[in-house]
Formats: sequence, C-alpha cells, structure tokens
Amino acid sequence: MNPFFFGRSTRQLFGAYEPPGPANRDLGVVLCPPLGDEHVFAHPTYRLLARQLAAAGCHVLRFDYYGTGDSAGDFEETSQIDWQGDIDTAITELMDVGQVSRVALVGMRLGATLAAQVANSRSEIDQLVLWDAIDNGNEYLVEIRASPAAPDETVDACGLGVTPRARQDIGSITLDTFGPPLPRTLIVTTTAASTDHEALWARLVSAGVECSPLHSPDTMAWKERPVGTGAMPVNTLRKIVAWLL
Amino acid sequence: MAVVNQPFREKVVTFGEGKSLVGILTVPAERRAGAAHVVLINSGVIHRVGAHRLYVGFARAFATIGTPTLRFDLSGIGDSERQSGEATLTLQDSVTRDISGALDFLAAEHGAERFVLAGLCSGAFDSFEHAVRDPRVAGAAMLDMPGPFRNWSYVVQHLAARALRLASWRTFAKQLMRVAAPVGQTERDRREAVMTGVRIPVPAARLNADLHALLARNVALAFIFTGGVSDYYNHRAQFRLRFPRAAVHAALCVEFVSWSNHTFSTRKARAYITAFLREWLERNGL
Repeated sequence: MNPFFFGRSTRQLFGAYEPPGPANRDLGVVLCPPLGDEHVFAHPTYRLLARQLAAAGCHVLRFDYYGTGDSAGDFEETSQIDWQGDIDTAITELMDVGQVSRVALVGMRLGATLAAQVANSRSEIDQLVLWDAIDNGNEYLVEIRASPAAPDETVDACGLGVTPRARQDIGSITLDTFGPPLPRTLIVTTTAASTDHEALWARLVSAGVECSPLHSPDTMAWKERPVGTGAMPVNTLRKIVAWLL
Repeated sequence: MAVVNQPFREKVVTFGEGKSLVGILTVPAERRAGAAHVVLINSGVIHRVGAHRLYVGFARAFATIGTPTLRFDLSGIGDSERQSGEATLTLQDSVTRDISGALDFLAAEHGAERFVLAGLCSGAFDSFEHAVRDPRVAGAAMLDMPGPFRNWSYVVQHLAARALRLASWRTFAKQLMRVAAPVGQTERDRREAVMTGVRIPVPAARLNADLHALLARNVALAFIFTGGVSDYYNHRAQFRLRFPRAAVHAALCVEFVSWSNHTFSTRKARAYITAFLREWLERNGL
C-alpha cells in the first residue's frame, strides 16, 4: 500500500494506492467513500476491500474528498460538485499510476450516489457498484439529523458542519439522480430489508442499465460498531470482488 | 507537498518495522524555537484523523504556533500493518513499541528532541502510560482518560443529581452499588477489558505515583474531561479532590468541558478544545 497526496497543490487529496498482486489486470478500482463519520467507520472495510481486490490483480485507489479525512481543506468549503470533481481527479490519478485503461467505481452511501453521477460522464468507467446508495437526499438529511433550526444555519451532523449549500445539494438527490448512461451496475443492499433499493433497481432497469441486485444482509460498514468487535461485512466484500472480476 | 497560502505543509510518512506504520506529519511554515513535536495517539480503532476529524484540526492549529505534529496509526489500526511478533506481545507492549517508533523516527528524520503525547480516550491512556516510561516526553494531554478518578466527591455529586430525578429508590440502590465499585478493580471490569481490547485502568495508587514521577520530571500535564464520561467524572473539582497533592503542581492543569460529549462532536466543542490545547502548548513552551 502506498499512501500519498495527489491533485492540485491548492486542493491536495489523500490517497492510498494498493498495487496489484501477481495477476496484474487492466482494471483499476476507485473506492468512493461515504461522508463524515460514515467514512471513518467504513475505513477498515474499504481497506480490506482494497486489499482483496489488489490480491485479485486490480489496481485500487482509496481516497478522501477535499475537506475530509487526511485531505486538505475544511468540509464547510465544499459542495457536491467538488466531491464529484474529487472522484474525477482520483480516476485520472489511478489511470496514471496504475497504467490501466478500464476503471470501476465502488461507492458507499453518499459515495455511491456521487460515483453514479461521475460514471455517466466518463467513458472509461465500465463497472459501477452502488453500496447502500443514498437515493433520497431528504430522507438522508433526516437520518443524519442535519435539519437546521434556520435555513442559513450550518448544522453539526455526522461529524460534519453541514452548510446550507451542502443541504441543498444533498436534498436534491432523488432516483432521477441515477440517470443513464450508466455502465454495468451492481446494487448492493446490506440492510435487513431487501426492499430498500428496489425502487433504484427498477429505475435503472427501466432506463436500460445492465443492472444486478445483491441483497446481502451484513454488518453495516458505515455504522459505528461496539468497541473491539471489529466486525466487517466479509461476505458482502467477497461477493463484490467476485462481481467485479 | 505544500498547499499554497497555508501556514503548514502536510506529508505522508512511514516508519517502524518495514515502514509499516503510516502517519501524516504537519510541518509549520515557521517552527517556533524550542517547540516540541506533538504526537497524537489513536482513540480506539478510529484512524489517525480522529473522531470527527479532531486530530486533523489539532495538527493544523498547532502548526499556526510553530509546533509540528504527527498523527499516525498504531499497528493494526487505520492504514498501519500489524507488525511481526504481534501475537506474542501484550496490547500495551505493542502500543509502547509503536509510540517509541514514532518518537525515534521524528528524532532521526526531523531532529526532534522533546515530545508531547496527546490523545482521546484510549489515546489518552496510552499517552500517559508512555510518558511515564519515556524521558523524551516533555508534555502529555489526556482527553477523557479512563482511570480511577471516581471518589467520594463523585458519588456525592452523582447522588445529588440523581436525587432530583429519582423515579424509584430501587433504581437508586442499584446505581449506588454500581457507582461504589472501584474502577478497574473488579473481575467484571477485567473480563470486559480483555474482551473488548479496552485498556485496563490502573489502580489509583499507581496513577498517583505516576503523576508524581512525571511532575518530578517537570512534564507538563493536561487532563481534560467532558460531560461524556459522567460515569467516572462529573464535576470540575473532582481531580483536585482525588489527587490533591499532584493537582496543585504548576505543571498540571485540569479542564472540565461539561457541555461537550466524549468525541467533541460539535464544531463549537472542537474549536474550544483545540484553542485550549494550543494555548496550553504555548504557555508551557512546548
């Protein structure tokens, strides 16, 4: 694993590149994290996924959006278009570092939504994994308790200062956000209810996207786990790796 | 790589056996004369950014007063690999090896001579324990350090608060029994600690002896407690009443942030504790 900073000097992003094992494939995988505390809790799972993909011959890049994790800046300075731009930068970086021509995006929660938005604008993306994607921004804002007392208030939620701009961006997310054209897509649901992402699946199928559902009730990687349990969704990781290969 | 117009630059560093420990070193644009190197220790399994990015904020704020800071992952946490021989080491031995490795690295590669260790929760415990053992440590800041801080004044405060909202005396009696149990002394505590990997709090007598040993070395100590650890700390004067001799030493300061939760989850709480620690570093010439 090679940790490094990349991107413009005014917008330095942290990345961790996992080089491939002996079976070197022409496939890069960019892991798009969720935001805030969900990102922190998902870190061990993403690290394990990166290692498993690399062992299978993929070039893998984990990264932090600007204003999150180890990357430069503060979250309050950012917006949805910036997060998408960071994914775009990460794709370019991985293609350069790994010398790969094909790239898959794996996104979790809000990271999945952002990955879908980027995937329909870059032809190199030929696979997309939407892991418990956020397909209703307003419900998500309620879930992370980002509802403000006043419209112009920045709210502490999910370990972030959620600005009015960020709320507006996130609140605008609907099923229509997942518009075609999209590459071959896997919709992963790890929550207990298999119906959670049926609407998203129906939306993509009706739009002609080659799409597979994977309902895999498992440890929810983005949630805080009891101290010391170290539980990770290993079954789900195994299925995602198998689908990507 | 420098970020334009920033008073610091951040770089990825790797060190330890096989360079398997990963950290981010925040280097101020102008290092203050005599400034120590701050090393931030993981809180539980949260990687080096800290809860709600608390450690990132610390490192960048400390850089504004010319203090360099390393935040890194202990082996097996975040991006740091488990090191060889891990299975034969106790958790505390492994932590000691990793922190020593970080200090050795900063000394060898960056000319560091004096260090400040700081951390939240288990990171506080590890900071204190290492400070006791390593003479290079000139300061230590412990945020919500688990330990034997409960005493009679804690119980009085606890019962007074409970008395105002008691629903039943039966519940009250159960709470009293629980509160009266000394921290880290019961078989249940030890069993839970082993199961969860949580550090086992030291007995009060040892903590008291360690405090005096550190103060005799003139190590600056900051103990910060929040309202999030009301199961063992619940009023401002508690530390002074628990460790009265140590508490009057000029090198020791105690802060009680009753209005914050354990992880400083609000921007207001993070800003407050960051400013507090930055001022503490400056005041102590660290």
